Amino acid sequence: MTDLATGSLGVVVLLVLLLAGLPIGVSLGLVGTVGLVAVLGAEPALVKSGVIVLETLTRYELGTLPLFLLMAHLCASANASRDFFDAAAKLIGHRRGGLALASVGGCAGFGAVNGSSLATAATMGLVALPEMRKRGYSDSLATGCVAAGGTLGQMIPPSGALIVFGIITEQSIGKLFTAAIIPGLTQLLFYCAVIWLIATWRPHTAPPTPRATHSERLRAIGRVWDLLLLVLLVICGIALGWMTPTEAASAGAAGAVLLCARRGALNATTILAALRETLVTSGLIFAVIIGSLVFSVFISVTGVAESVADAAVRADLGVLGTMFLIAAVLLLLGSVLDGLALMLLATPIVLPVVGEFGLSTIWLGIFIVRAMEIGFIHPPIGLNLYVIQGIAPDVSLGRIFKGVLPFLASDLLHLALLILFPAMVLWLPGQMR
Amino acid sequence: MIGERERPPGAPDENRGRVPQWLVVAAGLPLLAAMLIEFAAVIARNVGWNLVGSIELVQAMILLSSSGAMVAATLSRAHAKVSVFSSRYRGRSGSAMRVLLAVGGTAFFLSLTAGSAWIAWEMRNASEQSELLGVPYSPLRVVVTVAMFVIALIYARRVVLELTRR
Repeated sequence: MTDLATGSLGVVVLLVLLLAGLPIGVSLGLVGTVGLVAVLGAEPALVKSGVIVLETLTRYELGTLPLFLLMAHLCASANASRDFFDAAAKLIGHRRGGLALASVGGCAGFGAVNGSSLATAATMGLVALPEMRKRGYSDSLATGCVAAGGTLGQMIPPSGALIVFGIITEQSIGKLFTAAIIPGLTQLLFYCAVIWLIATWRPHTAPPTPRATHSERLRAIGRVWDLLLLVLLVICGIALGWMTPTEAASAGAAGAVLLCARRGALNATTILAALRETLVTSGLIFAVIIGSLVFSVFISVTGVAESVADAAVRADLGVLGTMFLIAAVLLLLGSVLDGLALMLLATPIVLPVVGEFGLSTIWLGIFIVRAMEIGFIHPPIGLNLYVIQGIAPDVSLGRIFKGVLPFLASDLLHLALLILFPAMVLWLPGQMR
Repeated sequence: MIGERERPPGAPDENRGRVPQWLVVAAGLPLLAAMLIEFAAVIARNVGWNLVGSIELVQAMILLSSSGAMVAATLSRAHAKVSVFSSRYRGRSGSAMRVLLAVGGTAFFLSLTAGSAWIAWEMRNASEQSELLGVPYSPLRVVVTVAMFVIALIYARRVVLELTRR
């Protein structure tokens, strides 16, 4: 069997193992190791996997992930999601669709301290859904906007997915975070536009709520100033080059400890719970990163990625045609694989294709994360939909999906814009010192 | 953070108690230490001092913490997976699938154990250490190897438990 055939077989076996339910990191690593044994022999394969484990766990940038996770868990303990939603609701809740706008605004704010789609959807759902339903919002709009808004957690820095992408492709995590700012903000604006359109065309789905007094508004803003300061410190610190991402994560985590102390939420139970969640989540991601790196070496050694790149060039579809084709394949794969598996399977194969067309790896990172996000809200995987149904069990999955459809349409338009105008991604990191 | 955990989001966390407190403390303290060292380095740099070797310390702390974190993730069955079909595994065929999945986990982490042990053994006399603070690499390699072996054992125990349950 040729190396190329072995590599192609490996990709097929990987898909089967993933769908069979083997953990993603184990699937990637097992296929990679067995494949390397077949291609290189046992000794080089084992030594290579050993080198990958040791090099990965001693990487300085690896610290970014658990430290940002620690910041997120500590902020969650300090009631960040409720405060973000309350502040946004007090400011714009009296407008038609205002609570839905406050929900996606709250998701963006919480996403800036969190970095996870699922966690953002779950925590904001607990806070915003009961309020919107109590105020007469339609179930489909209320559930749809929180399910879609949750995906902002993945794009708005700090993003866990971008950290993983940065580590496996050896790209600057700071540049990736900076590149995600404009796509994250435009995604938020797209969601706001969708809510405004729905509230205008079908006003009964999003009735206005009583206007908050000025003092209520000031009190609500007063409860989030420390969170906003922390978010600004982290994002500006990275984007303006004051701190490396690992330093920003440390400052963010230390700031979150101080924030918890200021709010009276700092005790041994809070810290131990935050550490436990941080360790468990970061542990699962480290396993996935190691598996993914072993798999990447296998794909590289067998020449599968180069063959795909050659085929893409020979197909003569041009840059746009190829990128739209890749987007279609990613969205199709996203129907059967969850976001993380999709990213780790696609990155080593798509990376050389993108390189052939002269596009940047930073752009690819944002593009893949955007495709991942869409996978979070479209069936059959659509994890955010299940999370929201877990919070509102009396709302059918079909109704939640109906509610998320307009947001999904805006997501597809946004993805197309990222392909048509790569400057949306690349302009800001180009300004970095 | 990303990916679907073996325990679905929102589901009761019946395995939470299975990450022992000592492991949380043992892996959490290096993480807190990394946070403090790095934060101190940022503050020091901004007031004109230079904390020499802070990166080397952070690297060592992160290695200790991440080794424990991977064990904790395995103990709490938190590893990300795609559960489109696996959530429907029932009866004897489901049990057989769970055995196969746990065998896969055992095999992968044993291969990582073998690889990292191989390197640790080959480099045992090299007396490698970091440039500025002289942090020795050999004990760190041993920690990683032990962590990978413990994870392999956890998966192997699941194979045995599933087989004896049948």
